[in-house]
Amino acid sequence: MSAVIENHHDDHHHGPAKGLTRWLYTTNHKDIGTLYLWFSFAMFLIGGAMAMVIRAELFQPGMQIVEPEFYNQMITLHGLIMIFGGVMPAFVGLANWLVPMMIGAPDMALPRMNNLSFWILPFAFFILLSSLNTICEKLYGDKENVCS
Amino acid sequence: MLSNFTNKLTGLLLTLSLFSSPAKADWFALNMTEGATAISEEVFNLHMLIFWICVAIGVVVFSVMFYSMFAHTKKKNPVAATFHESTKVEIAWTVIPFLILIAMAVPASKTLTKMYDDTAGDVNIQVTGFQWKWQYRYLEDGVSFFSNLSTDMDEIYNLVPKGENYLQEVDEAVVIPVGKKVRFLITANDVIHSWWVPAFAIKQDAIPGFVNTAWTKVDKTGVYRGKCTELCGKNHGFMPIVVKVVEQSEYDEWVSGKREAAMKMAELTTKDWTAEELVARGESVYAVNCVACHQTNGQGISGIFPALAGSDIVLNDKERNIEILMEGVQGAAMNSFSYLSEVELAAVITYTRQSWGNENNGDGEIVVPKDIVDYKKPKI
Repeated sequence: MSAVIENHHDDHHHGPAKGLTRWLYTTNHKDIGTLYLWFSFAMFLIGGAMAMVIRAELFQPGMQIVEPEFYNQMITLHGLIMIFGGVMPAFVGLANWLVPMMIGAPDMALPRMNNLSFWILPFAFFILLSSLNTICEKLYGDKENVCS
Repeated sequence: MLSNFTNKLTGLLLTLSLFSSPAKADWFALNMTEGATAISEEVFNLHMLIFWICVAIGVVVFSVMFYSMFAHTKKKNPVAATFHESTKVEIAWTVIPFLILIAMAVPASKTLTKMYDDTAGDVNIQVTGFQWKWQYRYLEDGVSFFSNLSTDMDEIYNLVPKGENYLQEVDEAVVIPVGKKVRFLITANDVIHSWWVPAFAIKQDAIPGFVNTAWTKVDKTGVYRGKCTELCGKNHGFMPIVVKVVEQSEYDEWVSGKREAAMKMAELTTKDWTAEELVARGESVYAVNCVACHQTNGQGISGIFPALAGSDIVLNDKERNIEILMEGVQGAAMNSFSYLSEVELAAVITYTRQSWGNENNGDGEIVVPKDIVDYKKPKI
């Protein structure tokens, strides 16, 4: 008979999360900073690829490689992806990494919201990139002419 | 060592001389030009003033920086200075930039107030941006016309060598008299465009529903070219501007010539047209307005622009054919072309109905200008 009920639930200690769960549910500012920086690097490569298409077309006067509609999409998306997908997430990633450490804080305020803020980005840029005619047609088919 | 130094000095002097020499349209000219008006010359001088201020600041900053870097390398056993604040320096480095800013702002504001003059000119022209052409309406003289790119599609697609004014030539240039104040009232019909003529130092956005003003007084006769400078869709790079500045007498002749042509056009709408006349006229209208999408052979681009050759509407449905030209197609790239004259509309529709084999496969009906006039009448 014991008067004290002992709680043994803490005996199995969950270690740090591993694999996909670690990155999906993280509330750690360093992990989130890493996510932002990798995302920004990927977006830099995509925006850079578009810049290469622009440069290839502009190498000589006249229309050689792409039609005007596609070229206009390239210049528009290149700008949007580089600024909103490359530069701004890179700054945020650096800030997430460095600022809490620099001010002696244990983490960012509202860590779960911080995580959600990052995960909105891949979805947002998926939507943005799906506005490209070629990708849009492959994703949605073009039955009701939604893609032009 | 000395030759090395003199080489560098020569290089520096040559570079500087390129920056200070005024308008020479040589292939190695690096600077912008003084343009053709008093205002554009002021703008050029402002640019040079600010440029040299920036050079001076750059030289000072970089020389202090390089001196500090090289005079304090480890080999020179640097000893750190032992002061940590100086109010005098802080005041100096606030006041001096402030004075530099004033020195730049005063002449700039003078030129800006001159540019923002929107009182009436001797000639007043309404400039309307369309997708993808400019329309010019001379408000006092009643002259009105469209200005389309006249560079061949073949040049653009690299099938023939490019002409000297590639993408800078139009079928109808704006004509203005030399030495007179010309005011432009700039607006747009569909999306935002921008009217830019560098020789006049004019760049104004053409915004639908809003009228921007710009003015110029050109000192020298000649031809001045410009471009659309606000992304406006597929052919944003293909709607240039050409301004012909001529003596007053030549300008007056041109205006009366235009007026006569307008009166003849009004007569043409009511006359009896034959199919051959319409097709001949329609071919040139088609080449200017339709070729970019529907292509010279009427095949269009499959999936994007429908083929007119063998099209059911073109072959059989005359009413729908006219309706499409007048209203455009909702949800598609086809715009309304109702701003063309009745003669041009009838001609181009007849041309499509009588070309590429369509004349043998459909009802063979042609469209005359009267049909377009009838379409425009209110339907009760």
